[in-house]
Amino acid sequence: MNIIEFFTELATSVPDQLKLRDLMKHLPENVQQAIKDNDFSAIRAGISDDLFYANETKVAIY
Amino acid sequence: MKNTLVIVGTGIKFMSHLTIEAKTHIENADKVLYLVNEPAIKKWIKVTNVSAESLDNLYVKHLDRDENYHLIAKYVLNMLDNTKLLCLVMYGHPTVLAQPSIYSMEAARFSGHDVKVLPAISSEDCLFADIGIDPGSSGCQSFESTDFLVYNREYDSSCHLILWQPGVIGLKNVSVDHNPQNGLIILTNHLSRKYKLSHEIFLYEASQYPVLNPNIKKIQLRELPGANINRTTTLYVPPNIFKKPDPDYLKIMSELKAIS
Repeated sequence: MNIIEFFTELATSVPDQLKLRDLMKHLPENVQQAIKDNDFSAIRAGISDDLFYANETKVAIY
Repeated sequence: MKNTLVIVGTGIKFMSHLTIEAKTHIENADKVLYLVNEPAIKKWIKVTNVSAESLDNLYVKHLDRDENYHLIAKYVLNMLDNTKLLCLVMYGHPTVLAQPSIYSMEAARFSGHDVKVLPAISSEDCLFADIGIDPGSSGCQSFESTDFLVYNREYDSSCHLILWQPGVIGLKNVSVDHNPQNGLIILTNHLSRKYKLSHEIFLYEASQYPVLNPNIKKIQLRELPGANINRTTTLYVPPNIFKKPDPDYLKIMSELKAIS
């Protein structure tokens, strides 16, 4: 399960804490920690690093 | 040739806020251009429509943000001239604090193309739900923070007050590093003309991911200059006075009732 599948699963279901913990195991550790901290900026950074963007400009858009 | 530009927003929370009509347009467009700040939804867009192209590089092409917004609009228009159905995807709501899509919409209409803009969930919508306020109760005023200060906007402190982007007050360029403190000091001084320094205000950041909670911090106005805020933080200032109804209008309303 990749990060897209992880969040899509969360968006389309109502997982209990047990399932959530189980799903979280599929994520990189830095993203897991950022989720526990509720730190959106760190989640974005972790996802970005994990998914792709080696050849793309990382831009802070707000 | 008359082509069609559809401007959509992804909402704030990954996948959860994407409307069916926005999703359908992203899937079926001949070409997709996107400007979003969340990597998971970027990836989803790229997978969903293989034509999808990021506008990130144009967003940072020049130092001046407004110059880049016009550059994006020009690029969108050039693409639209050669694309029957073009979809421009923005983060959040496509016309809320999204000047590139406003410029693109205006340029496309001026050139005779069809333009459709689809509504989406903005962070203000999330704020209403998460903090639990009704903009219809006592009214609601909403300003971009720099605009609020520079134009010394008139506002009524008996209404809900929402200030966008307090973390980038005065920032005209695309600089990544910006210390928000100076702007927050100016904003605090300005607000203290109408609110006590002990007035409780909210720092708000909508949740970007399913299951996660929004970040909501209640502080006193005097604490604002030292507050830890980021570029996506919104400031909500609750009303500080209860306004009495105007007796003349009350009388008129009662007369209307009598007529009906």
